[in-house]
Amino acid sequence: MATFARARRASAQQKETVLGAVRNMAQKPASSRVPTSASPAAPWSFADVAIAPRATGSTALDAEERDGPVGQSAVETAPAQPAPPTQPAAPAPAAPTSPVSPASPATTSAPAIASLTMKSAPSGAADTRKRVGAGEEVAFGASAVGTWTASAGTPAGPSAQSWLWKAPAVAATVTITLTAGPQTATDTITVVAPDSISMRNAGSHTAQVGAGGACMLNEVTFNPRDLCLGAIQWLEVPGPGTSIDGFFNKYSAATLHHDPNPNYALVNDSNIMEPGPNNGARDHCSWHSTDGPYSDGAFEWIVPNRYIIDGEAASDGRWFTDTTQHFTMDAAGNMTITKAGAST
Amino acid sequence: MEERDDFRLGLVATNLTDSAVDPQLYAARLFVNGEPSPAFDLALNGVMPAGWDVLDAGAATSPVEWRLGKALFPEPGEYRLALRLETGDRDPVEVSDTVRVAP
Repeated sequence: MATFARARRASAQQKETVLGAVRNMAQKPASSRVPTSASPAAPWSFADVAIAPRATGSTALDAEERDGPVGQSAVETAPAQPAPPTQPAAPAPAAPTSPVSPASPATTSAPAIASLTMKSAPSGAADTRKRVGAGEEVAFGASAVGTWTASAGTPAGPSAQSWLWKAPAVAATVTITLTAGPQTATDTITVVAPDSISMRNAGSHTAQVGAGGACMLNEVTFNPRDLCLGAIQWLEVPGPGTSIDGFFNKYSAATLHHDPNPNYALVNDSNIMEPGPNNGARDHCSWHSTDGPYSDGAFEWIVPNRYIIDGEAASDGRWFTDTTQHFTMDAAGNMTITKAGAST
Repeated sequence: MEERDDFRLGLVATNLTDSAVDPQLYAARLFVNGEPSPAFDLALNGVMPAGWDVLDAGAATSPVEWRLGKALFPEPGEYRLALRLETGDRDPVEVSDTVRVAP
């Protein structure tokens, strides 16, 4: 019992030091963002129209209470030094548990790792979470100075007690390793890519909607929300109208083709599309008016969606989900448009 | 006719006033030989281009272009294109051009 109590006290001291370093890192400002164009600027010219007149995130200590000890070997807060084999600590500390896995014998001190995400998850999940979004940044701190490496994302860091790591652009299970002298400690991070899109009708160009027309301006949310996807940019891919029926058969295939904004749009740290140099804040779903006579009918766009992370080229875009924008018309001239959970 | 897919229809708007405005570009309509183009109406779908909801004083919207050649020119001939922006609180704006499509 005495050994256990001592180990616990030492571990708590150690973690405070580790988390202090991590918290300091987590206060660094986020890097600036550069939006990406999916297509090179074209020297076109048709018309130049002149228009006249967080803070409440939990800590690794909270995580320990929830998930178990961050590290409970007898570790000093000073940089760890391997114990001479002729001077084993007695008695041996309790066996460490996840996430720290010291590779050295139980008779030596092992470094401990703690982490905090630089951004909070929209769901409110703790910043000590081990599920992070593609391209998300995580601050790691340790009880010892050592060399940091990762199996994906930022591959390695300098010899230091803390490290700012960036997740890879694609889903992965990543092992973070700290090597301090003869000892190592590891942590495991699960990197998650965006997997779906949700939309909410947030407005309409009401004054512009005429006979046989409909409009909605959607707020666009990227899932999952238990991690931060603020490093991604989003693009809709053009495609044909499909399942064309009834009223809409009078339009040519070329007319019903979907040609969305060709530029990647920015996503904020709440996983919601935000205005950028090439995009506004909303997704516009509309056909402001159509000519009668009206009859029942429908058609839809199956829209492939791609993402990149900040700094990647547009050509690196990768598919992650399809959304469906569906148009229906009835004989009274009422058009309805639905998309990703939103409806006019 | 085979070059129709290379045709680009583009739009840039500049705010010449000294305050931010909603340029209401989503109200723009394209007329082809005097008839409104449903293809252009549908081209306004998708992520709103920057500046289309609020355009700062002196600022210009980022260029937007659409590949509408096949939709606008179904057969050889001469086509008069007129892009018209008509809103309740400003004078109407219209620009036009003629495109000749060879067989």
